[in-house]
Amino acid sequence: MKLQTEKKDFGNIELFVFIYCSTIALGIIFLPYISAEEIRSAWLKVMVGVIPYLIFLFLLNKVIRKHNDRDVLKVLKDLSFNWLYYPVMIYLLLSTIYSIFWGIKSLAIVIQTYLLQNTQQWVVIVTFLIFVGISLMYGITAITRLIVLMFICEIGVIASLVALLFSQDFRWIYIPPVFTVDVFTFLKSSISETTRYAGLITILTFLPLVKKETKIIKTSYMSLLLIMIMFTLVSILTLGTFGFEQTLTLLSPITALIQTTYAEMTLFERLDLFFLTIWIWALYKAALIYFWFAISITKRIIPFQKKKEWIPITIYVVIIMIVTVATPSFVNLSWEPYNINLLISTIVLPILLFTYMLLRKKRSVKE
Amino acid sequence: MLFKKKQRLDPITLSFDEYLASIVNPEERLPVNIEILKGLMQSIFSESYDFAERLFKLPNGQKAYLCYLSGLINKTDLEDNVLKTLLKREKDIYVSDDFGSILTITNYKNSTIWKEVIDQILSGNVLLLVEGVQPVILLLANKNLRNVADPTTEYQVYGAKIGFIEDSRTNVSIMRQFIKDPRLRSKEYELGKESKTHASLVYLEQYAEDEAVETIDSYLKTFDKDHMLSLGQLTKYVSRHPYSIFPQASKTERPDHAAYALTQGKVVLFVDNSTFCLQAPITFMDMLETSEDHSFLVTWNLTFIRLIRLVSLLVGSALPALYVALVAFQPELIPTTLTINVAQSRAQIPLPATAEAFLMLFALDVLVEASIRLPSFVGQTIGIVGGLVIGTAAVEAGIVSNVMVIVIAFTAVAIFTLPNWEFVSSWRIVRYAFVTSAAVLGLYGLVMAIAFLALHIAKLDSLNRSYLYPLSPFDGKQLRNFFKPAR
Repeated sequence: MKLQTEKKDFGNIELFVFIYCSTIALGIIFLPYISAEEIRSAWLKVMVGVIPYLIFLFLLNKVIRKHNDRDVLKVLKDLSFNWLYYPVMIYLLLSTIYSIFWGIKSLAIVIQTYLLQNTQQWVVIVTFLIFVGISLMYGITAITRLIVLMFICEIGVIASLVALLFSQDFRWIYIPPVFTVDVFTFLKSSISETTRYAGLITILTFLPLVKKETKIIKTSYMSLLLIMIMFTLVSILTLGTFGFEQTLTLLSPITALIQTTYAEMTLFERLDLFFLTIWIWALYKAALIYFWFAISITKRIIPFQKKKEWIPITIYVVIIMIVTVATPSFVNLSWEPYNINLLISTIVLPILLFTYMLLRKKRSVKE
Repeated sequence: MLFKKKQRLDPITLSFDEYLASIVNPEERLPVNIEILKGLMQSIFSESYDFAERLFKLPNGQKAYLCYLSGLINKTDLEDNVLKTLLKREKDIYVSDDFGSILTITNYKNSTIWKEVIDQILSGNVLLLVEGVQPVILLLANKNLRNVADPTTEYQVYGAKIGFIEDSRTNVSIMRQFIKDPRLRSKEYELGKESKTHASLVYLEQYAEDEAVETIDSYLKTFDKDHMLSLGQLTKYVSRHPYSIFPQASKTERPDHAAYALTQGKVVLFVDNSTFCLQAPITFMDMLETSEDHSFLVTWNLTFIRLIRLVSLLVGSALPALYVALVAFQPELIPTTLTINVAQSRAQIPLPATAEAFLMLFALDVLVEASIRLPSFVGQTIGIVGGLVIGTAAVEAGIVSNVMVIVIAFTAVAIFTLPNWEFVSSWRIVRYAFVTSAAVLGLYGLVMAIAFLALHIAKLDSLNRSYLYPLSPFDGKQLRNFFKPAR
C-alpha cells in the first residue's frame, strides 16, 4: 500500500480511541447493577451520568481557548501557587494508583471466576503486571497505536452487541424505566453511574501530544457519546434479557448475556469465555493508559528524562503488585469509597480547577 | 588479584589501508619506473596465483608493463584492443593522453594514487605502464555474470518470468525496463571498507517520501563495517529495531515485485553479489501482498485471497496455543461432543497437551528446515517420510493424538499461505511463545501474549513509518485499497 499519506502524530482517531479505551473497560464488564443505590432505570442513569463529563469537556475547551494551550496542567502550574499545584498533582497521582489497584483486583476476580478457577490470584496479578510493566517501556506511541488496532478489532464486538437486541431472549417489556423513587434519589443514584466515565481524566496529559489541527473537543464529545451509547446498550440488553431481579445476582451480566444468547449458535460452546478475552484486552489497554497517566503526572511532580522512565514504571508496578497481592483473594470490595474518590478526582476537582483557570487572567507572553 | 580483569588479546588483523600502508604509501602517486612498480605490485599481490603481469617492449624500444587479476578482465579486449595496437606502435609515447589515439578500448583513465589503483585492479581493471609515461588504468573489467533467468525462490503463476542477478547495475537496468520514467532515480554506494561492495538505491521521485530516501541514504553513507557480503547484514543495519523478530524490510528477487514497490513509494536497494533486492519502508500489511495479486481479472479474488492470508496468519500462529489452552485449561469452551472426541483421542497419550504441542511443532520445523536445504528430489522424500512419521506413525505409536496432528498440519499449511518467507519464519517463532503462554495460563495467558505481541508490532517502524499502517495510524482509504483496490 502507498505510504505517502501516513500520519505522524496523534490525530482525531487516536484521541477518539484513547478516550474510548480509557473509559470503557471496567465500566462495561460490571455493568449495570453494582452501583450503590439500585433502581430499575439503570440505563437511564447511565445516560444522565455522562452529563458532568460533558460539562468537564466544555470547561476544558474554554480553558484551552482562553490560554491557547492544550497542556492545561502546565497552565495550572503557571497560574497557581506551588502549594496548590503540587498537592493537586499528588492527589491525582494517588487516585490514579487507587484506580489501577481497583482495576487489577477486579481483573483478578473475573479471571479467577471464569477462566482460572484453580490458579492462585497472585499468579494472575503478577503476570498481568509484568506484561503491563514491560509494555509501558514501549512508550505512548506504541500504546496509542495498539489501542487503535484493538479498537478496529472490537468493532465486530460492538456490532454483535447490537445483534443481541434481536435475540429471542430479549424482552422489551423489561426496558421502560420504573420510577419507584423520587427524582432526588434517582439523581443521587445516577452519581454512582457517573464514575463509569472517569477515564476521561487521562486526556489531560494526552492532549499536549495531539496534533495542532486536531479537533479535540468535537472528537472528545463524540467518543464520550459513543461510550454512553455502549453503556446504555449493554444496560438495555442485560435488563431486557434477564429482567431486573435476576440481573442483580450476576457478577458480570454482559458475560452471562453472551453465554445465554450464543450458547447453541456457534462452534464455541461457551462463547462468553471468548468474549471475556476481549474484556481482558480492554483491561490491558486501560491499565496501560492509567499507568502512563500516572507516570506523566509523576513527571510533572518530579521532572525526569525519558530514558529514566523505567524507574517510576518499576516502582508503580511493584507497589501495585505488592498491594494487590497482599489483599485477600476474595474480599467484598466496597465500591462506595472508590466511587466517591473517583468523583472527586475526575470531576469535582477538575471542574473546580478549570473554573479557577477561567477566572484567572491570561498568562503574559513572558510566562 | 581476585577481581583482576583478564587482559584480552585480540588477534592482530590489519585493515586494507593498514596492509597497503605496510608496503607503499597509499596516498602517493605510482612510480613511472617499471622495475620499481613491478616489485611493489608483486609485494602487494604476493601469493596470489591469479595475479597476472606482462612485461614487453614496444616496436620503438619503450618498455611496457601490464598487470591485472586474470579472472576478472576481458581478455579478448586486452589482446585485440590493447596488446595488438601497442605492439604496432612505432612512434614514441610521451604522455598518457597519447593512449587515446593508440588504444581502441572504450575507456581508460590516468592513475592517481596507490589506493585507487589497487581498488581498480581488484575491480577487474588493468594497469598499464609504459616507461616514462604516467600509468593508466584500462577499464576492462568483465564480471562473471550469468544471464537473467527465472526467479528460483518466489514462484508465481501470473507474474513475469524474470529474476534479478548478482550485479546491482544490471538489476537497476532491469528496473528501467519496468518503469520508463525519468523520475526513477538511482544512487550508488560502496559498502564495506574492505569488501567495497557496490550498492544501488533506486526510488521513484514524487512517489517515495523524501524522509525515507534521506534516512536510508544517511544509513548507507555511514556504513562503517569492513565487509558487506549479504543483504541480511544490510537489512539489520538499516533496521531501527534489529533485534525484533519481525523484518523491517523485505527481500524479493522478482523485478515486477520491486517495480510495484517503487510505485507504492518504497525505496529499493540492490547490492552486488545478491540476487535479491531490499524494499523499505514496509508495513505489516505489505507482508500479506504480492505484485501478482493484481494480476487477477476479478477484484474479488484479490479480496478473498488477502482475507485468506490474514485469517491463515491468525490460524497459523495461534491454533496450537489455542488447542493447548482449550484442552488443558478451558475444555468447557468447546462443544461437549468435540470435548469427548478430543478426550478419547488423548486417552492413551502419555504426554500432556503442552508437551505434545511442542513436540509436534519442533518436528514440523525440523522437517521444514531439512527439506529447504536439500535438492528438490530428496526434499520430497523427506516430506513424505516426515509426513508419515509425524502423522500416522506417531498417532499409531500413541505418542501424539490424531487431533494434534490435524492441528499441526493445518497450522503448517496455513502459515505458508503468506508470501514472504522471512515473515513466515517470524511467525514460526511466535507460535512457540504463544504455546508457552497458553501452557502456563491457558486462554488468559494466550490473550495476554497476543496483546503484548500486538504492542511490540505497534512499536516497530520501518524507515520511520509505522509497521501497522494503515491500521494504526488509521487510514481507511488505504485499508480499503488493500482489500479492494480502486480501479
